Amino acid sequence: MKSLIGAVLLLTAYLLSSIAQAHHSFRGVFDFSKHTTLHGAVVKFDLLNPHARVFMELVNENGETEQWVVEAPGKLSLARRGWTDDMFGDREVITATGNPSSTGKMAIWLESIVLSDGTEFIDPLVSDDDVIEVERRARAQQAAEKSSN
Amino acid sequence: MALVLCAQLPMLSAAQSTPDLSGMWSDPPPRAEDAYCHVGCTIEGRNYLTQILDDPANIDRSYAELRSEAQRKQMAEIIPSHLTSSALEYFPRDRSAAPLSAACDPWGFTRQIFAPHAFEITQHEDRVSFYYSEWTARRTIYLDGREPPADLESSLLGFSVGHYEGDILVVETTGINANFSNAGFAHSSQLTVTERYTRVVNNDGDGLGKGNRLEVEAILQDPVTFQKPLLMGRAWTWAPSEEIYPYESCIIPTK
Repeated sequence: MKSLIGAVLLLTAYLLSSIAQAHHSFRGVFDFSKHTTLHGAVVKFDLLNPHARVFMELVNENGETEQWVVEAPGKLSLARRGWTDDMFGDREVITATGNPSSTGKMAIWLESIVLSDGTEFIDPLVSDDDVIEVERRARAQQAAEKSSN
Repeated sequence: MALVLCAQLPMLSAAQSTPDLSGMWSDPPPRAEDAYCHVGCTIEGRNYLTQILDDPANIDRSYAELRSEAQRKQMAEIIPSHLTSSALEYFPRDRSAAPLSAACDPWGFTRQIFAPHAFEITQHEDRVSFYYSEWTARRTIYLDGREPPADLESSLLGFSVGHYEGDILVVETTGINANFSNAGFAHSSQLTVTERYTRVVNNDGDGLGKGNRLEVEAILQDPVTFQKPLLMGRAWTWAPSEEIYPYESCIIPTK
């Protein structure tokens, strides 16, 4: 039988990761409490289902070339947000921010990508939250006005 | 007045007395309750979110904070109150124990029926076909009154029969493999699910046209898992321009 403390810890961990991302299946693979930023060249892009991957090459502070992967929701989610198979130029230099691998591997889960021309693509769930916050404020204002009448 | 009344009527096909649910559906525009139910939610949890969103006392609390409160209530109170004592021992499911199986295995029934993104319905005289973009999964809902085969073996998406009740498609599914849901509970192969699909008019001025919303409410029953039926739901919006892309082999995320 699971101990009460264990159950509480599991529930807390579940809720924390639910707060970060509603439907990711990679809670044991990426650490959603941390953030890493990469700056380097795109060498390959797979806009696929179930998951997309941006392969990057960058130079670390020791002058060594590193190969990183930015993992992302699949084409189902990204295509309707403007992602296309040819969105990156040949070895285009981008800035990618995301949640790092929980096992020290060179991979992050997408939070945002900024192209060389400054165009930013944000994790769809994060950008939706910004829109919903506007709705929330309007509803709360309406409720407050109704209550004062 | 007559025109207004007509606009509120359910979408009924001129040739049949059955509701017209056919076409491509997809994620609704970002709205609080729909985002909360992105991969399915309890109806009780969704109603609680509505209650706290529309409470003037919460005017200074962000959507993220209110959503977290509704999620906490769902996970700490609503779902546990429905679970048997044996099911509670495994709730919530520890995803970190097997993250790769969650990443690269096709979804089980309780995840699939609330799948986000493009979802195509095709209605025939004797059946309805569901084609989900998630996992390019397909379901056939038999409308000819057939009974499940006597030697039915359970499967990932079970065996479904359906009928229309007015403007609602009612689907009943049995023979579902034991699996887990996005809501954190595991269920046995004795799970039976009744889904009710309704096409409704969304008057929020999003320009998508009449009958632009498809809602499902599902009743989950399983004597091993639930001490009382659990009601869950989701919604999609009319999306004729979306398409379903193939699934490539799932590449296991970098370990």
